[in-house]
Amino acid sequence: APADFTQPIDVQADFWEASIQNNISIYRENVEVRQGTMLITALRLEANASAGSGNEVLIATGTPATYSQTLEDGKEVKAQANEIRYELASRTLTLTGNAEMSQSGSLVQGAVIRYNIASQQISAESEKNRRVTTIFTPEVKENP
Amino acid sequence: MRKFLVLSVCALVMFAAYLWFRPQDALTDIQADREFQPDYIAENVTLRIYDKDGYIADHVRASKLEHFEQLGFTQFAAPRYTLFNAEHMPAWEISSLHAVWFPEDKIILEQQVVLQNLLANELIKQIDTESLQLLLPEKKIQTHEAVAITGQGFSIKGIGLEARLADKHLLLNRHLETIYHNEQ
Repeated sequence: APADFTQPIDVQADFWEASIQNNISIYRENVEVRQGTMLITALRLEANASAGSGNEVLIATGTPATYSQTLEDGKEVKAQANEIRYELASRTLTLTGNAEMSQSGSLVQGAVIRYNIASQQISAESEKNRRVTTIFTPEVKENP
Repeated sequence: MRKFLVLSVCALVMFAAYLWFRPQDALTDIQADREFQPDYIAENVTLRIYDKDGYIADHVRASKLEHFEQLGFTQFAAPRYTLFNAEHMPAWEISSLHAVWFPEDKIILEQQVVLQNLLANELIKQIDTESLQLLLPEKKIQTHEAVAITGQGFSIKGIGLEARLADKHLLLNRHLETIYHNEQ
């Protein structure tokens, strides 16, 4: 199947309003953003189209906003944060505020987590006096 | 003899009453018919109204116009209404198969209503619906109908729309779905 990030994005929500002047659409209440297997849920979504079609920036906020996606190898990635920013052009997710991301039992927590959906690269930043926490869960090996 | 006299007076009174009212009905019918006849009809119309500074404020084209003085409205067939922005540039064009222009500068457009953004590269390009109310002075539009919005790389479905075209703000009463085509 084509990679998620090349597919159209479907947005469901109860309300929509837009400022043509600022090229911004706002979706509110029961927001669900789907792209292939990717799903973002939020209370509010701002879609900024100033950079033109295909370069939209989607900013989802919630308590928390959540993200999930099934990778090509079938593994599932999950994440949550106060804000999830998705830049279509660079295929990058930026999670800000109580950010957490988990995959196959490993967990990363920090103030800011950046994740590239295409390359599956992840980087995390901490807040002052707090550290980034990463927990790797080793795979259970069968006894030889 | 007396009885005969009383009967004939009654008959006369009833006949007079009948005559008195019947023509009145007839008259009202005629007047009613008159009201539903347009006072004037024009075809292939172009209507331009200029504001006090000489700038064009309203520009309407229609294949047919019928004006009903007593009923107080004007009816258009295939109207195309151009709205101008603060810089006096044509900004939006609203068209439909049928429209009625009411005295308080309210236009109701019906059947295949299309609102087209005439300015290139703006977020919203076109809005389609089945009927729409255009409130002129404020350049506000509203509908309770299903709405399809086409934008730069996305399309939206919803029900009920309010738009202030002057400050370019739109709001759906109920959003159903948006698809970003994600063409890069």
